[in-house]
Amino acid sequence: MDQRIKNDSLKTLDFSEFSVQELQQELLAAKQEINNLKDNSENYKSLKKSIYSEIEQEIHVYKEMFYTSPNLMAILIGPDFIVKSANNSILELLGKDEGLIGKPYLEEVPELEEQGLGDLLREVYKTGIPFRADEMPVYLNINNQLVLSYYDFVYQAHRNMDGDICGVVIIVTDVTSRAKLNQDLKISNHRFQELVYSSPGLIAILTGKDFIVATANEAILKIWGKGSDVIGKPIFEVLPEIVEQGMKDKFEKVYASGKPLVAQEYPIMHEHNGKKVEGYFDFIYQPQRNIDGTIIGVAVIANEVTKTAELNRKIRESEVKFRQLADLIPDKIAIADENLQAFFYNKNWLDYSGLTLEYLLENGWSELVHPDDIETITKTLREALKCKSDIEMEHRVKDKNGDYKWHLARIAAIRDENGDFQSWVSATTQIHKIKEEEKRKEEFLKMVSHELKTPVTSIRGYTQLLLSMIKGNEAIKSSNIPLESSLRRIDNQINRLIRLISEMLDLSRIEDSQLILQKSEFNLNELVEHTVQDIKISNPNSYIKIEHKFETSIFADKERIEQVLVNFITNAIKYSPNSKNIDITIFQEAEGKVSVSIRDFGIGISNIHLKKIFTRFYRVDGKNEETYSGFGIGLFLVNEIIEKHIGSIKVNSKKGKGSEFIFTLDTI
Amino acid sequence: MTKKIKILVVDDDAIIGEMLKAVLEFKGYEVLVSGEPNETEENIIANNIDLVILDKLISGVDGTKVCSKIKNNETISKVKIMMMTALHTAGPACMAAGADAFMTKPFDMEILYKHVEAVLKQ
Repeated sequence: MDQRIKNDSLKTLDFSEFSVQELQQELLAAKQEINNLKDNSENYKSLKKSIYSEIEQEIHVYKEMFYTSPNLMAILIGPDFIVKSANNSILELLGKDEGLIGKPYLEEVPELEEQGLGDLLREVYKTGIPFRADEMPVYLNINNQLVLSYYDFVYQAHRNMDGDICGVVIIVTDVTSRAKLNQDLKISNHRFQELVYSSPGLIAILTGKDFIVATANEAILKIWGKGSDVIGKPIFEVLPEIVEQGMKDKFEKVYASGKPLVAQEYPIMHEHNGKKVEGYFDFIYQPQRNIDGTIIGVAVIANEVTKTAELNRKIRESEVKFRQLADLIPDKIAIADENLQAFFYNKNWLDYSGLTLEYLLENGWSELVHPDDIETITKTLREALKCKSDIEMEHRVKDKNGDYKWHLARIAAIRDENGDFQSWVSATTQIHKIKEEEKRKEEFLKMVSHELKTPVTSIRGYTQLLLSMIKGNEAIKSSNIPLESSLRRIDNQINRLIRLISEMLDLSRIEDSQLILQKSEFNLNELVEHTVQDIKISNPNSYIKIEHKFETSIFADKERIEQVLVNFITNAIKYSPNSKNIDITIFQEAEGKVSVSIRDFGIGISNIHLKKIFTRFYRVDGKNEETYSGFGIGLFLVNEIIEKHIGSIKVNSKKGKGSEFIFTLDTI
Repeated sequence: MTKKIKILVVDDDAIIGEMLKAVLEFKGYEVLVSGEPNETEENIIANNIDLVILDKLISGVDGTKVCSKIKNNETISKVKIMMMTALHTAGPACMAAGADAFMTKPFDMEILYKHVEAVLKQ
């Protein structure tokens, strides 16, 4: 393309150059011919006429050609380069009209002087040596704006009939579009080279059947472990090791078929720092064609993905390990998306349910849940979905024989390092045996409590009956038999035994996490009144004062709250051997809360014991073991009960001054 | 005292029965003791009973069933029933069966008297 444009322009130049000389020669020949004919015959006249007419004709043709030529043409005369002729093209380009004729060219187009074109004109005028230039950049002032264009130039001396230089002929062709094209091509070529050479991707172009390395960028040379001297050598000479890795066959196949070859994470042994190493590559072998479509080579475009490949391999290995681990665990493991749609079940799920993985993935495990548990489960799951929080639930799951077995499911929300939710992981453990065991234990406890409490009740009844019967009997009182004091001691010991039994039973329940609350709405002030009345019966010497600063109902386990009150009040009595006053206050400390304070004026608790009194089996040592008896679990139980109610306990105590226990619960 | 109030104690444990009889008789009540829960209704009618003190578990029979049977028997439904239980948690079940009061074993005799008086006043 470039070549063709150049040829055309040359032709144009030749033609114009030829035309001027031709014109001069024609004129000279005609003059000669006229001079040779020195008669005035008719022949001469007619010949003269015909010659002039021919010359006129000729001049007209050339004038026509001169004025209409797409080339920019002008004839400048004298050392001041006065415009003698200027064709339409040049006038148009310069934005001038016929007025230019007769004016000094360089004054009319001053920007030419600045660009050194004036000197060129003067040089040609002086020496007669024509000036030629191709694609010369020239700025012209067009509409008060300097516009850059490219021109092929000829400045040629204009000679008179005697051959003396009388001016300069300008013949210029605007080749801006061609020049721009050339420039674009150069830029594009440069860019292509840049792209190839600076690319972190591996690029090589192999030409011919021998796959000669025509282009190889730095990145690919580095992987090859070679320098740029490999350019021009056949690839299999440069890298003989890839022949045995089957690369030759691959190149030849691409070359023969013209079909590109694509591979991903393909392992290739190559040289790295002088050592043979295995790398992984994504690559494409692209056939290269010339304009008529014939295959002339193969382009190699590759990326080293060794790190990714290794990572992927590790991920795959890790997944295999995970699966093996998941299958090994006796639990049933499932992983689900954010909508709890499971996409993984371990082998135990399949073995237990007798279902296929496909079936479970399609239908989920909810149909295996016991109908009685569905409602609770649905509620729990819905809540978990809403809060995206971990959950635990117990339910029966059907095994492959159709039997329902108790399971404990722990479902955890897995989050990524940014804390964004990823998936649900559930571990479901069969707890059927534990459940059955629990049931048996519960039965046993019921039996024990019944069996123990029955004889104790009767002993207590008879003791109290006897105490009532001897009350006011002066004969017994005056005798020396310590009947009443003995009966009182028996009654005290029975009470102690009763407390121990109930503490023991409660403790075993707590250890099984079986302290299940049976909540109902009741008036707390009334409960305190009733409890105190009951306690007064067995502790007739205590003065218990109740102050209702605040009245409220609460939603709690009435029996358990009563137990808390009994514990605090009997403790207050127990640890106040010298003071019988106990103050109970019901008050409101904060909105939505109610507090009960039980204050005694007894022995108090020293600081070192204060922190530990709510721990199990902790007992503050007392001088009189009989007075301060117990397993040391009373306050532990109280604490458990209040904690289960999401309440709080506070203790203020000073040794020798008494203690105040305050528990706080939510109001309704 | 014009007419002695009659109390029927139903418990398979004879010692508890005898103890309650002694304790309640000391307070002036007339007390009958039975170890046969299934004969309770007949006993109430035959002896013109005012109050039944019923154990929750008697020889494998669920006391709450006996209680609700009495409460559903029109002729004797007005008879007061007090249930005894060894378990804290059994209270609500007793009340649900129609019992007028319940006590957790082992109870203080003063509390027993209080409950008996309160129930009879109802």
